[in-house]
Amino acid sequence: MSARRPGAFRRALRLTSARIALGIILLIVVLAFFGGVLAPQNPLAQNTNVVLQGPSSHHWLGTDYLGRDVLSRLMAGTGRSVAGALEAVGIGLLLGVLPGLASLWLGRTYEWISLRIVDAFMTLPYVVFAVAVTGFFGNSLIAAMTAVGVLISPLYFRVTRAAALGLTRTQYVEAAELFGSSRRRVLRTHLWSKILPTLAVTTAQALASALLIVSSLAFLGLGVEPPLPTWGELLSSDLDYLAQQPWAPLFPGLLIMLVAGALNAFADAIRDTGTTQVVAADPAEDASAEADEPIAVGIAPVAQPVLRVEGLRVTVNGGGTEAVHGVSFEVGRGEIVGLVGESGSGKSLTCRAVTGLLAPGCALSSGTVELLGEDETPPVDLAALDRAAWNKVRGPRIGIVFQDPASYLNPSIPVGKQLVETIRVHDKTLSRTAARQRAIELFASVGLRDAETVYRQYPHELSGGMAQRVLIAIAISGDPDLLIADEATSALDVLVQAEVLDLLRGLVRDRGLALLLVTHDLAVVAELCDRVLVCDRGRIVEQGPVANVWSELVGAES
Amino acid sequence: MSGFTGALRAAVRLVSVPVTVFLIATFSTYALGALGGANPAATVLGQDATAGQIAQLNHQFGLDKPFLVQYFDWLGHALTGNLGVSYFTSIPVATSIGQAFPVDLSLALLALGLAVVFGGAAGITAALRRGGWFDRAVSAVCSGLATVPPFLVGITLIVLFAVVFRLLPSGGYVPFTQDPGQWLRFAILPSIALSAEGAAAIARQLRTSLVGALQENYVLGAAARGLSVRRTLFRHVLRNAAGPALTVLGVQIPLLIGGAVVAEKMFALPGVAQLALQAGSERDVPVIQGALLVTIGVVLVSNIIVNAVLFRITPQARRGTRSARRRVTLPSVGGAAA
Repeated sequence: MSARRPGAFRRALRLTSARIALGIILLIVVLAFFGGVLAPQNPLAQNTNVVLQGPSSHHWLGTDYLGRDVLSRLMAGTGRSVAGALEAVGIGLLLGVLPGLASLWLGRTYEWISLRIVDAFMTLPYVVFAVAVTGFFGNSLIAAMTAVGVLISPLYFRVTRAAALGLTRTQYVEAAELFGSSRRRVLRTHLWSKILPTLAVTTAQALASALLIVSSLAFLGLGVEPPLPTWGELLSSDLDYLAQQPWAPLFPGLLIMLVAGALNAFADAIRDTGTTQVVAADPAEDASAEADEPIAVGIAPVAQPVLRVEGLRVTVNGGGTEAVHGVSFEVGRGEIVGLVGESGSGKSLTCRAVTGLLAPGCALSSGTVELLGEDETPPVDLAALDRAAWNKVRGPRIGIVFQDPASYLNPSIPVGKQLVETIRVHDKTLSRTAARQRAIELFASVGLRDAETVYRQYPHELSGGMAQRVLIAIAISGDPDLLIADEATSALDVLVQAEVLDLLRGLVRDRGLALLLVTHDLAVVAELCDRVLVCDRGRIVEQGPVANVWSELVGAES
Repeated sequence: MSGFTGALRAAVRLVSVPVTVFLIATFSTYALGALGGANPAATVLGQDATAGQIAQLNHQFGLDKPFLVQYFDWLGHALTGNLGVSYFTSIPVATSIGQAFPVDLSLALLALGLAVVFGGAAGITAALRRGGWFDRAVSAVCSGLATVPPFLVGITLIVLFAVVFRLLPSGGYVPFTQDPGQWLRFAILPSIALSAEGAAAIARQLRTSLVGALQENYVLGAAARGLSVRRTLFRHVLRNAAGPALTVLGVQIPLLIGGAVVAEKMFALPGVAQLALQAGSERDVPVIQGALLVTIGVVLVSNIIVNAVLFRITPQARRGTRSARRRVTLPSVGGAAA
């Protein structure tokens, strides 16, 4: 325990909280040794004239039911309280660490049995076990704290095992073994230096817990030898005189809290300084802050527009930086429009802004995003919607498909149920069976063979292509006018990608959808799109029919 | 196809570990009792007893048999509901525990309910308003509660509600079956005191896992499908984030029982712990063994329930991957709190 790595220890002490905590701990250590000597009065001296008095100049913290000085009793009681906690933690350390290490090296049978023994210890509550052990062996502080120590050992067992398990999988230990170091040597040189800081943290926390347990037990009269004070025993006697001195438990209570708090703070300091690395704040991926001129490329009018974006600006970093500088475009019914650009060009932010799914810290700062209905229905201004209104747009009006489709489904619910949920949220009149029927039809319509089986499967049981088909089925379940695919085929292998693109093309043709395809893959654009918008540094720098833009782009790239 | 056998195998897995653990735990506690060397015959009969009388009483208690025989006799009887007879009062242990156990059970269930409701609400609200004043307040209260001796909460409650405001009794008990209203009057303070630590642990764990879960893609996916915030939270996010909080709940149950001992003493409740405390001071081994057995049984049964619920809500656990299984059957210790 005293072999804490000086590095971790010294680094921890740079923190003010750690220094204060250490100060309190040292004070308690001094009190533990010399509390009885330093006490202003004899902690055992009774005086029936001053029973149950409040704080005064003579008795700073008042007197108890026998007229004894509370401050002196607190100071004198420190030793036994601390000794009890140390005994318990020491036993836990002895019984836990080596078996914990051994569980990794002595084979599976030992491992299984030792884990079951640890489980068995963990079914026993500290207090109940201590009551039993003092009942079996007679009431003494040593018996009570041995019982607690045995139950603390699983904590050390687990912590040691976990730390060693993590370490044996690091490459330098494997390398050391490969280079012919004996196992024991590897252990000595590498393992201990890694495990000791963990043990130091655990020990500080365990001491704090043990101190609370000692007090709990003393409160029950366990491990108490009557005239000699301990903190818990003080609390226990206070309880009988609550009517006269309702504030009396405050002093021992606060003292215990202070010490436990200091130990925990110290543990936190060691852990934090031992492991924390300063993580540089992620700079805005596409921050070009310069003021910008009006949009270079105007809107190309579209026959039957479904989506009209005008002068869209998006800020990131909580409004600090503008990343999309006035983007305008339209997408028409039955049209497939590609939005292309390198990563960081602002295409994903544009797509997120259009769907109202901007990440926290990002905001649509100006511009309009309109969703146009058929014929006479007035356009919906998406920029002004609140979350409740969005819930009526996403699904019935706009469907959205993402990259890495399985991650956009709830991992613990079968995919069929998630489709049924979506259907019934948007069409509340539909019965459960009807929705189920419709879900299976939808799955079949997006080319999922054996839709009944897929219905019952969980996201992790589906291949990437199947998951993307499921996501597409969900996206079109509300019969939307606009489908937005955000890198929807990027993670799929080439064959599956071609199939999904075919599916999308079929949906546009059969349902008259407008499709906005966000991608960095020019081949996909060339394959599928009618028109293309090229995004660069937050602006649309190029737009037009695929064939025209394609030749220019190839020229520019070469 | 393998739905049934799969479920069967899972059930065996859920049960085989607790059975082993039960045997280890009862065997080691029984062995400790035997090692303790309490000599009931001498204590009961007094100093004037003859060797013959002592031998006869030892025979009556079965203490003259080999240790292993004693253990299996005791275990066999215990499983049929016979926990032996108190050395001193000759009352069957099962009878005493049968009277005391409902007190703890009703109290623990109320405390568990309070911990889940208040801890859950605090954790959810803190996660949704991450970084706000409520979040910071919850964090402060939770880390504060980790350093408060469990009985200090109880004392504070007694001082406030029984001594200062005189709203509730400071101790005593009325069975639920006799008068539920009165039962609540007596049970509410001890239950709050008992639930504080568990509520803090649940709030902290739920907040952490919710904050993580809220950043998952499937939350965005739910928004993209037009699901409301409320539906997303309760039907989707909580279901995935509840696992670790449930595990914490499982770990809390032994602590809850330990706390009940203190609460019973503080609030003068006639529960199992009072029985065990009394028996402990008299070295009445059969009663102590009975109390330990009930404790071990309650902890294991609640662990099985927690694991079964985890198994239901997480398909990963059902797949039976090694990591998932480990997570489910071995809840990690969330700090060695009392």
